[in-house]
Amino acid sequence: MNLAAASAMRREHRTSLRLEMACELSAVRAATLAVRDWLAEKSLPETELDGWELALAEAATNAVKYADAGARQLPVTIEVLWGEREVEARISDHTAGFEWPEKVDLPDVDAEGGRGLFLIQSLTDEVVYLRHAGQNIMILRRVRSTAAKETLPDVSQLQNRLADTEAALMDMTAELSSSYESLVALFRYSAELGANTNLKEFANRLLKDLMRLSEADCAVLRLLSPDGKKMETLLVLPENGNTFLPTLVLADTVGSVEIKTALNRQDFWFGPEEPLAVEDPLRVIVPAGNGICHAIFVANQLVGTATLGRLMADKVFTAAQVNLLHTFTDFLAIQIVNARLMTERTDAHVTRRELQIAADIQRSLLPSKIPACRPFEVSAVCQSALQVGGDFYDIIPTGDGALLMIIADVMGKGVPAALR
Amino acid sequence: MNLLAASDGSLRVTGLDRLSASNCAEFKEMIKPRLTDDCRLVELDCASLRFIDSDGLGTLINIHKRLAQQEGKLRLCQPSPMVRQLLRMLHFDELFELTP
Repeated sequence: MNLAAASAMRREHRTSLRLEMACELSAVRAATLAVRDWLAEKSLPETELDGWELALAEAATNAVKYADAGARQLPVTIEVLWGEREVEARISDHTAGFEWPEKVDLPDVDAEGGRGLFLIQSLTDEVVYLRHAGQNIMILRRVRSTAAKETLPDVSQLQNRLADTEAALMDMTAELSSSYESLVALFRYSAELGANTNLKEFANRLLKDLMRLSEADCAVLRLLSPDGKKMETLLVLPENGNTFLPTLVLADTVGSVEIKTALNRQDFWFGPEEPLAVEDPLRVIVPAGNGICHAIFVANQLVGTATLGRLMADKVFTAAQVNLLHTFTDFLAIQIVNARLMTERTDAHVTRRELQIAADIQRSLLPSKIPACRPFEVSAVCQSALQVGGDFYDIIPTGDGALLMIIADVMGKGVPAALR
Repeated sequence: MNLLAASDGSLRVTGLDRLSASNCAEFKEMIKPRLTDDCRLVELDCASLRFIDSDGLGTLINIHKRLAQQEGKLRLCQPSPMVRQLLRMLHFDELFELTP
């Protein structure tokens, strides 16, 4: 975002009004009065307020009068912009439109109609009529009489403008520095990864850094259970006694924004306009305020969700802060998946070793030497179907020249059979 | 809005706060039956008139034309500066009688 765009957006927000009115004559009055009130708040002189009220009423009345049945279903939009030197209004309608005459004349003095366009033109400095298929826009402009003084802006205006510019610069600096900090943090985590094997501790530090950089008041990290049916709570920040969040069952989607995020595999915002459901467990953490819930993926596999929240309803996360959330949690997800793969590999190795030991023990139960028994020659072989088996044999000399031969077979195969 | 009919056939309209596209048909419907052939004067008290648009002005022309046929006239009493300016701009001050 460049500096000019940043400050323009801010100003635009302060200095524009947009309203939609139903396409009916009875709606015209309320709409024009709403615009009048808005302009009056900005101390536009009374005569100019009267002029705008009438010009807009004429334009809006035309937009309704000439709408066909289909167009009557669509709203008429009025936008008003408070410019540096002028007021501009845009009225969008869905009529068939008309050709704006080159010269708008007054009809005969005793004609009963046909004065609308004349009034609109007389009450404004400039009229532009744009005709499109399906929508026409009438743009009206009138220089503010109070604007003349502003050609030489006074000190307070200059100070305001300077403050705007400074605010935009501060935003950009903050954005840059948070990008820098996030990069540094990610490098540091990468370096630490080898040494730190405790995933939860690692995630805890990463999430705390993310909260600090994104100015969040709270954060929740959920991981999808291995069977893919549940969302388990790994972390709730800040940590204090009552930050317990129950495990969520995916099939049981009663009002949890985290479940919604996981199922839809996309981010969801919540706040005053999209409040958390009454039964959403997150309400314990963010009772009011606002936040964003992000679905974390690695290689198209859902790993879990990360939620950042703010307790103030009007402080919404910026695009840069949402980027931080994505970067940090996606990085964390890779570490989580890596750690899981590592554990699986270690587990497999341990299991193989344990089986080897079990096989050795089982084999040690079998006689290593078979006693001589002339004139017979006795030999034995044992081949298990699996690594460890349930087969057993022994050959015991009875002392009177006879041999006791035992062969046992436990039903089944593998370790359970061997241990029976 | 009040409509007073005098014994000489003249009409006096008071308490009208606006005359615009959304209510001028209704206004016309109310006046028309009272506008008898012997009516020589319709007096519209504009003290309370906050807003008038081109449709409202067209309605006044309509009443003016009807009255002109029978040598009657339309008188606008106490129009606000805004209404007065509008009437002047459209040359209606030549058609109607304006009283301060």
